[in-house]
Amino acid sequence: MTDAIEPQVTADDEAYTVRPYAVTGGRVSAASKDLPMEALVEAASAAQNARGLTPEKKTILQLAQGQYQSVAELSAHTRLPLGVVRVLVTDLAEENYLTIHTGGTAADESSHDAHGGLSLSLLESVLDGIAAL
Amino acid sequence: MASQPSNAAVAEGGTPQAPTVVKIVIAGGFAVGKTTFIGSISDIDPLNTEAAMTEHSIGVDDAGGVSDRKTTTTVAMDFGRIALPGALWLYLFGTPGQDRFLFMWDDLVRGAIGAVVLVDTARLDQCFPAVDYFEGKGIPFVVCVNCFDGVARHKLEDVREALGVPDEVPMMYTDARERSATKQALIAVVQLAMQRLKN
Repeated sequence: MTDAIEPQVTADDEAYTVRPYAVTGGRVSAASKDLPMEALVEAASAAQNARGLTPEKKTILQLAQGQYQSVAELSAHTRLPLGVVRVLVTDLAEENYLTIHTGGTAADESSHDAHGGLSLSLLESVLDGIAAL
Repeated sequence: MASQPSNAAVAEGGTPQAPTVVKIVIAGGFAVGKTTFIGSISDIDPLNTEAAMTEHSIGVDDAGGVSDRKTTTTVAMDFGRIALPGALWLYLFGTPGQDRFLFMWDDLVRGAIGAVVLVDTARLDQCFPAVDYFEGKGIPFVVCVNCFDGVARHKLEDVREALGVPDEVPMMYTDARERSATKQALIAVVQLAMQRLKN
């Protein structure tokens, strides 16, 4: 949903040398809308030799090389709006330059119960983890 | 989209698996201390998903009790990350500081464990949109009265009455600067989510 609305947040446009959606070719891909902002991205090793990619895509692949980066982190580090990063990440995944991991997110049915809430076992792990901090 | 089974993160041996990611939303009014709350416990310095409005907006919300102590506007979500044992990553997402960004909340809360609503009793009305939103969506939330300068100025029962939240909603004092206090708030959210699941 942010994909449709972000271009209206004009206050941010000044921060870019090009208008944000110019880097996506003006597209808002349907698949990218469902990409959770906390989904983790991991660049494929083959991505290091990738040619013909836009500077924005190259930057995303560099950031996600050898480490997991969430979509939100990629947005923060590239200073591109979340919606733009979603489109670019979805493109790169389709081109096999990176892998998207959605375990635990709303896009991962196995970690949720029938009502869409997170599974009890996952919540127990989270609770134990926080308590041990 | 590549979907990872939730138990993959704890697979025995072999190649390292991608962490399982969960999130908790940190809501509340403008300059109530959301970024401070996130920063007190995050493994990384809080990041912001949108370009800063001005150079001055780089930095950490000082959780000032008065608005003139906050010199900039948070234009989008601030967030942090905590690595938990068992290849679990917990993300904390702060809501955009102003009501005009309410349209982003649906995206923000999708798949979240629940939410913390930070309250400044000097500006109680600022948390009303958050409380209304989470109640309306049925999202588990706890109310944390942020004690600026470590002073609790109001009784929790009085705050509960003023907010009109039912007894089931946990309420507590917190200090957004204190890791131990933010930890307790996060524990309360997860416990509430578990309680909901069992009922």
